[in-house]
Amino acid sequence: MKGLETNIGGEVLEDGRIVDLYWARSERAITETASKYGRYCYAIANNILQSVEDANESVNDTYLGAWNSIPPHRPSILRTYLGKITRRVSLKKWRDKNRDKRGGGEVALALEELEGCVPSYATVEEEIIAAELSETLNCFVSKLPEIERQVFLSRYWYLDSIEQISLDFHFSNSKVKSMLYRTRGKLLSHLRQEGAQ
Amino acid sequence: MNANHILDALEMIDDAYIIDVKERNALNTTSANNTVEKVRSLRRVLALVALIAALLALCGFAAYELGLFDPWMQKPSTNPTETVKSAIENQMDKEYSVIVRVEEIKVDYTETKRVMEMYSGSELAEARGWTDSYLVDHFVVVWAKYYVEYDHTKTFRNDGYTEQYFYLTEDPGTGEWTIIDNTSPNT
Repeated sequence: MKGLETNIGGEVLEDGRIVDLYWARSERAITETASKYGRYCYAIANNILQSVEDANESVNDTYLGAWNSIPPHRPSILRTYLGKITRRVSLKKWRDKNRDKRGGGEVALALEELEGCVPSYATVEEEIIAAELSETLNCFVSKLPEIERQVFLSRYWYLDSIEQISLDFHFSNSKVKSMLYRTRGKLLSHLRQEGAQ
Repeated sequence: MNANHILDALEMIDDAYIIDVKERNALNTTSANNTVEKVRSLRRVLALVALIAALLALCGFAAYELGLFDPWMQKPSTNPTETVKSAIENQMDKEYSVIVRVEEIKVDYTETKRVMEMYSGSELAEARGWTDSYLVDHFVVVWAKYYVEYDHTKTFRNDGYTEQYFYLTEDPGTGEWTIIDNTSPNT
């Protein structure tokens, strides 16, 4: 596996080669992952946890998650694979910390905003299982106009703050808020339709 | 179902959409940085242009004041000394001249021979289309001594007697002599 570990001049490895390192059980996989995607994962974790210490812990958990899941997985897009692990780990950590209280930060705000998208008739019995809900959401997101979709996912996937989204998209805060409000309204309609089926 | 379910289910959104968001932001950041950089570069270029323009203006003013680029308001004549005389006397038309009086003026054959030899076969002569035979027949150096007084509120040139050489060429067609160069004034 020596060939896999050649990294001339500190060049960033391609995703495929990093995944190969995981498969070869080379610990260098972790350092290469940290080097290439550490900041990306940290940004997601910090958006959710709003704490340097907790975010770093989440990022380390992400590396561990990747180490434990590759193999058997061979992610085609390492970036989103890691991002999803970070998001999942960080949300779990946030929930654990805020089990007995409402909690703060972008997650609390995002949840509060998304409460309005839950159809009122939905009950535990009628609950769409996670896979189906994901499929429904995927369908919904795919139909959104490009910018609206990007803003929506910035807020509810990356848990970016309204201010950050405004900066990223060169919109005013109020424009971002109203855009998200309209999108949530569409999501509610979409979920109602899906639930009616 | 509650909001947590939606938040969790969003995890499984297509990778393409997830990447799309951050790539756009990255592009925006790059684009914004590029814009800022472009504005900065433009400012630097404009500042540099302004500086160069100021320096050129300063040099131009100094050169003008020193007479380095002082255009001769000559009246070409078939007599080279008349051409030079007209050029000197026409300096009176300049706003800073108070008195301009030609004291002495003549063709300097020694200087003509020396300069002609200097020009002969030179790149400058070639560039100007001067063959050796052309220089022999149509090139002359005129020496002039003249007295000048200036308005010192308008120029820092020195008053007094000035000696200067003028290099002239003759148009073979019209026979008129034109000043094509001159030495700096020796005041």
